Amino acid sequence: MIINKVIINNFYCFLGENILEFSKGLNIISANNSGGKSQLFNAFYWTFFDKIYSDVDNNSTKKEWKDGSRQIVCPDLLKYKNTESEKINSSVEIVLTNEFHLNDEPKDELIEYTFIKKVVYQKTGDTISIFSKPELTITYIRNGETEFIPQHNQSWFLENIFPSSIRKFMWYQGETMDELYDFSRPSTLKNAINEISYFPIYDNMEKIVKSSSISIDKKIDKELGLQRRLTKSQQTLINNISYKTDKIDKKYESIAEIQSDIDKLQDDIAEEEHKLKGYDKYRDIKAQLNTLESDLSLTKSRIDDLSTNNKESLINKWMLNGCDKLIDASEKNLNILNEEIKKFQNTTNPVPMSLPGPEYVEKMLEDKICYICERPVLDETPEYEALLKRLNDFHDNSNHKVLQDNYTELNRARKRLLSVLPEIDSEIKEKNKVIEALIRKRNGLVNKIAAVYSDSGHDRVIDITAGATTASQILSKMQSLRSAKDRKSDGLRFVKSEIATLEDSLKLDLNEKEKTLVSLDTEFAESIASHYIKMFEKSIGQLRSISYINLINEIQTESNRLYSLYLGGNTQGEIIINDGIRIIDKGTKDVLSDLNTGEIVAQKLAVANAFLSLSEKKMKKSYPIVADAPTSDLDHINTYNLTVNIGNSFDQMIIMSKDYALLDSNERDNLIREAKIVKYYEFKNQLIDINGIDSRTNKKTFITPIK
Amino acid sequence: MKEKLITELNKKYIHHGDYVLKVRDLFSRKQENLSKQDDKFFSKYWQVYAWSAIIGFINNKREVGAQLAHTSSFEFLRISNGSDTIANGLMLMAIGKIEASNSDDILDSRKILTVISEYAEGGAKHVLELRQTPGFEHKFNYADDYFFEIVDRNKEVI
Repeated sequence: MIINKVIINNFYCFLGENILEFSKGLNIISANNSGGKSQLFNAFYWTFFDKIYSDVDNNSTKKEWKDGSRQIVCPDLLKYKNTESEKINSSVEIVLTNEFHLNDEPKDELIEYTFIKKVVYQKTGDTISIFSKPELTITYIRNGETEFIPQHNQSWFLENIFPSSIRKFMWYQGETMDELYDFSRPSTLKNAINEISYFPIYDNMEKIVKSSSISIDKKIDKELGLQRRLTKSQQTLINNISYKTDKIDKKYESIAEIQSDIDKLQDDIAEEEHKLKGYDKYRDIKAQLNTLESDLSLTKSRIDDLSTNNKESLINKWMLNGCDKLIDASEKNLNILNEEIKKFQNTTNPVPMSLPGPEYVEKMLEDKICYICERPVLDETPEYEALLKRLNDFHDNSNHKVLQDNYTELNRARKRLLSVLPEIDSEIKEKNKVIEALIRKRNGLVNKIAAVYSDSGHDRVIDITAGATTASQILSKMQSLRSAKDRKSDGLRFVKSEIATLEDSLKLDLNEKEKTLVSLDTEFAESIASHYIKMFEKSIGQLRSISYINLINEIQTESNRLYSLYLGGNTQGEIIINDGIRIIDKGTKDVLSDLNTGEIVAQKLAVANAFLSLSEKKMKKSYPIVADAPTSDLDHINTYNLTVNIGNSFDQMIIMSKDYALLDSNERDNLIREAKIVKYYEFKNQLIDINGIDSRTNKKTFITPIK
Repeated sequence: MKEKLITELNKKYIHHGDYVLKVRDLFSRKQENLSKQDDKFFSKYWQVYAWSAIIGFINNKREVGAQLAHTSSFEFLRISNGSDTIANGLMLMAIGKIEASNSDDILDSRKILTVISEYAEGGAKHVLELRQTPGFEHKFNYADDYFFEIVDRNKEVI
């Protein structure tokens, strides 16, 4: 297949009509970032497969494949400038040459197919809406007549000319190469092999011969039964054999079913793993945010606690700061108390404890009788005065005691305060230092959280939470798929062991049959046919496995040839294809891990291109390769090697890359010569009106044909 | 028979004047608002009273003979229970201000309370006047102001 021409009209950065002609061989489109390469790629994808690779949403730089029919593809300039109700037409036309699609076998009947995809938009107010939905028409001219591929046949037709199992090898975007095909998925390899070779025919033949072998054996047994040559026990044996053979067949069928279920589950798991790639970062971000936010809330609550604590301290103590002198001033008055205490102690004898207490003396004065000597105590007598004096002594003593207590307590409080107050300043400073450190930590955390948001490209927590939730959902789905796969694998082992038991028992029956039926005449048509069928069965099995080994060897050899070419002979290892596709060390044959990205890209490109190039050899079907930035992970020298060598591998390649924009005109001319580049275009996205504003509404892609 | 000074003080109600009342309403949460969130710095009446008194002592602002018409707000016991450091501080500062010739002059609990309240009035008046100074209208509306005031006291001394 050769892509001849692309006409792009009002599609993203392509304003007005833009014609690109391509030829057999290597076609290069060189452009800087935002030059329009990816939009050219999108033009192909939109036309053929109705998909657009674009930003997930306005808040994200992440890209994904989107439903093409819902995207507004017209340039920004038209979106903003068009007046009310004016219609905007966007279209892409692709002309390609391919073997006539209805030929089962290639007959070199080449037909030119024209694909036209058109959409019409209308502007209402500030919004632009789809006036007529994107529609694809496919036409070709055969025997002088223009023919249409009817709408309902278009997807079948596209599947026919771009089989989906190898479509990924023909159309790829460098940045999504990792995700586009993953040979660790068993079905990727299997489907690709089926598509590029006659290999599926062996599978069919093997099935046919196997079922004829079973049916002929049954016929033989039936024939023997009909001839009534069998004894009862022989008949039972035959029945047993037939029963067990049927059962084994059924078990094998169920094995095939389980195996295909397991493959499917494995594919689903790989699919989920692939999906997870877009989302696992959210889990990391969410985990990071959770740690930071919990630290932040802890820090905030520590700040709050300390602030509350400081406030309590302020109210309960610190507000006395600086009152030292005022408190100390109480000393003068406290000294007066002290003087009084001393004076009292010097002039007054303390009341002996052995004498009657004040209540007793008061009673004696009241009753006017001394209860010690039992004599009366009359008023105004010396005895009465003596008792009265005694009572006053008690009062004086008690007052003195209170005065003494007051002095002691006040003095103690004064001293304590005077020792405590000078520390307040440093205490406040100390506590404030802790709070300031925490505030710095809090601010740091707030900044870190903001940085996590800005690094993630999202400014809303809901985006990240949603992403993280999706990631968890994917993980839990993977978990359930894995356990389903484990259950199936257990089932598979069980069925296999059942088969082994049945086969052992069948083998015994067959031996028995051979021994007991040896005397019988088995020379009838079915039994003779059976010998040949068994021979076919064996030889087809051998052919199948030989052919598989040869095919894998061919893919492997071709892959290694291309791999080495792309890296200019400096490969780290070699590609090996068995269960999956890996790179092994040339000497030790150990699998090499931690390879650099360039190496992996070259390996993937080599294997993908090996499939395509073998498909050309085996099936006489050639496919163009349309690649957007395949070299983005390669260094300068490898990009050069790849470009020089890749063209030889295919009938046609269209490579879009920014890597060639770095070349000066001499280097570029050398490359065009050395790599035998047939078409070379330069894309530049520039201002339409040089004096106008720097906006996408004043920009378009200018195409310069260099060759 | 006499009782200990602190016992007598604790039994007695604080009598205070209008300035303290105004400051109290400005800076202390009202009893009925305790459950509500508001940004008043003090949560109890005794706190704002003690603070006003200390401001009065520190700045030597005494309203001698002030009308102490509010006689049943709270007892001195509230202060003692809230912080005996503050209670002792107030008591000793008041004692320091009393002109005395004997212990009876000094250990007069009502006199001590009156001295404290006169300083509280002076302090409260001082704060209210400060808030009328241009640029200081919002002084003490924020927690930081209280800390600054406390830390700055020693600086002024230096």
